[in-house]
Amino acid sequence: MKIQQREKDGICIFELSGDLDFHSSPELREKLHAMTDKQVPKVLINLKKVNYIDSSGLATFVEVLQRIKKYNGKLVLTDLVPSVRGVFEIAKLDSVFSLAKSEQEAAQFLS
Amino acid sequence: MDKSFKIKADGASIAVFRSQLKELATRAGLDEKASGEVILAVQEALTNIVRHAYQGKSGTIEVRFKDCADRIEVSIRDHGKKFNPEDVPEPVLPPTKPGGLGVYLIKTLMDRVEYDASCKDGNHLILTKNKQV
Repeated sequence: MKIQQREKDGICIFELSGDLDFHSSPELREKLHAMTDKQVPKVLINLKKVNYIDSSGLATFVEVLQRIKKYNGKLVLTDLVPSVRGVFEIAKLDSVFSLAKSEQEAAQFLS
Repeated sequence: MDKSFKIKADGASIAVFRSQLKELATRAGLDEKASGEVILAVQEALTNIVRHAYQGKSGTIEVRFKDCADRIEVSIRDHGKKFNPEDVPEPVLPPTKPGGLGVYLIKTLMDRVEYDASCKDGNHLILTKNKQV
């Protein structure tokens, strides 16, 4: 998994590429924890280039959402491909996360 | 078609096996959605073996992929600690804490999940997905 991090208009943006699974989740978890340790208020995770997610990937996002909520921060996931969105839906997590169609839409959620 | 694999019980080997599984599912005639469901369910089962049966220690997993006329069957065998998916409670959805979704995903995505409780050494799980006719 490739994890790129940048900042735009006060939003911390993570761009992920590759499969998010049992093998790759620990690396993402570590980077997201480093970010929440700094209590970054606005976080956007772009999943456009993620074609596969398993329960370890879902658990990573549930955990980071919990951590962000603790300091009243905001998290939006964007650009989910249908197969990944489907896994969120099976776990009913589409009702828990803010899911945006694009980074522009996500920026509106975060404003 | 009947194909067998021996996989190392670690995250990297499971990830590599995913592409082989995709090829088999496609060759068996499953569409993209069904193929994705089989891949995810099998991967969750393999991950459970690494986590619960071998508990991070080294071990091997034998996977047998069987392409039948009306269904595909994936038989998964390990030699680790007993882990019966039937003993795992149904998760509360949506989950409020991380984890506990693996078995739920397997049961939701496959048409049949059989745990061979008579297996003396380790675990034997058989996952079945019906083909859409």
